[in-house]
Amino acid sequence: MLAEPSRHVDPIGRLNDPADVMIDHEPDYRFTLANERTFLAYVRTAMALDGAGLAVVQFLTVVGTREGRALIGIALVLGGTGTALAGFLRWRTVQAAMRRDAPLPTSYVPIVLTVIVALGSIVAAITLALR
Amino acid sequence: MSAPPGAARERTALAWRRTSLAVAVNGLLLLRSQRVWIEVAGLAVLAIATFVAAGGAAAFRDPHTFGLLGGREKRARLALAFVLAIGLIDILAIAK
Repeated sequence: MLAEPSRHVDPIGRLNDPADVMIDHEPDYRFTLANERTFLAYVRTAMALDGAGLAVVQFLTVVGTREGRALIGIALVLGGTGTALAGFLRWRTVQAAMRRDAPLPTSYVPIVLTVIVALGSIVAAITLALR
Repeated sequence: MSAPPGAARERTALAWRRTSLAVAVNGLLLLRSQRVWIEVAGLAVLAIATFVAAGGAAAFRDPHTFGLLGGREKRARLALAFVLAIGLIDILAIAK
């Protein structure tokens, strides 16, 4: 009878138990591709936030002060940077879990992203309304 | 080994193309900057976006390629480094 494999993967995908190396295997290619698409979706979200940051400075020239626009732009780009990092960590964690047949870890990133985008939209709407 | 069934590879190839378009838009926005070196960086970003789109199309034509990342961390790190570099250039372009 085969022993129950241990499934200890920390939140960033590293092994906690060296014995886990023994049960590491290549997952179904469809799951690998799905994980890759999710990573790409995070990258696109990051690119959209980066682009929005540049657009605030380049196109909203009649709204607020130059410094204010720059601050908002930099905040958006930093949001994009955080999203890209979170996407990579998520990709790595999920890939590690799949290689060990472990349950996929939960993630709070979508909730955090939703809150940030919603707050940004509210600020943008108020700014445009007060123009 | 025959080509795997299903449209997962095709969907992933399309996802790479969408991503390269998003990168290209960032490159175009950088081209609107007033500084020469940022415009040059924008051109480089555009060139890499084109390379990713072309490379993705070529890679997925091979039925044995299971994605550009293929579950390999080194490639994912390279993609992340590229995205972070774009973010840094964007910040420098905004803070000029």
